[in-house]
Amino acid sequence: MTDPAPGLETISTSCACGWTTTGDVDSVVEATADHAIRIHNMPATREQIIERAVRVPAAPTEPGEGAA
Amino acid sequence: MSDLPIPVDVEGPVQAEVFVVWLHDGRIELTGACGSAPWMLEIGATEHPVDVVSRIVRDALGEPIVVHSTSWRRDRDAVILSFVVVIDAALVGTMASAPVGRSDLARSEATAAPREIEHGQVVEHGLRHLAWLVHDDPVVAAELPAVWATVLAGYVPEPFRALG
Repeated sequence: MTDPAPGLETISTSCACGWTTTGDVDSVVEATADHAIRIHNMPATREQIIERAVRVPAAPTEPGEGAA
Repeated sequence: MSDLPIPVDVEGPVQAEVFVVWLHDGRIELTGACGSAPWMLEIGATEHPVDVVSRIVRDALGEPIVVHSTSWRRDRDAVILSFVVVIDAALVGTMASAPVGRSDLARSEATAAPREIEHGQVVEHGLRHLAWLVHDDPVVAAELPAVWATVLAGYVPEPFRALG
């Protein structure tokens, strides 16, 4: 199995207030930056968000039924 | 990227801690963007704290009835300004909410801050402050629906006081 291309991996961030989001890098960065500024008046750069994110392991692939 | 989650958290030398209160069947409850937990805001170097709290609450929840700073203390490597924000029940929607319990105040020494201050004590002080304002501040008295004066009667009025 190969790692997903950079930017396509699934990552997750959480806020101290309990809010969390998971998805691809761009969507997580966008959602986290929006939450930080809109709810906490806290500007956050892409680099700061990625620094605090964790990589979400890909779910193991189930062999398809009837696979040879 | 870290191996362990590092929560995004409010930083900076001045932070606001917002307690959003509303009346649920005549009982004061805490709610807000972070549910009943304290709602932390970062205050920029050139920003006025009251403006920030009013704007963020307005944008996230809707128009507040009253926004008032009620105490401050030293915590989280910052000066924390506590605010009580009163909202109408119509703004609560699906936000988590919890009844406010009563707490003893965190008492200062004659020339020193209290050693520990719990959130419940900050809320208690804020509501006592609001109870005082209802009787002393004509703007607050005019803006708050009359039922608030009745509900707040159980809180001992106490003027603005630094907690830490």
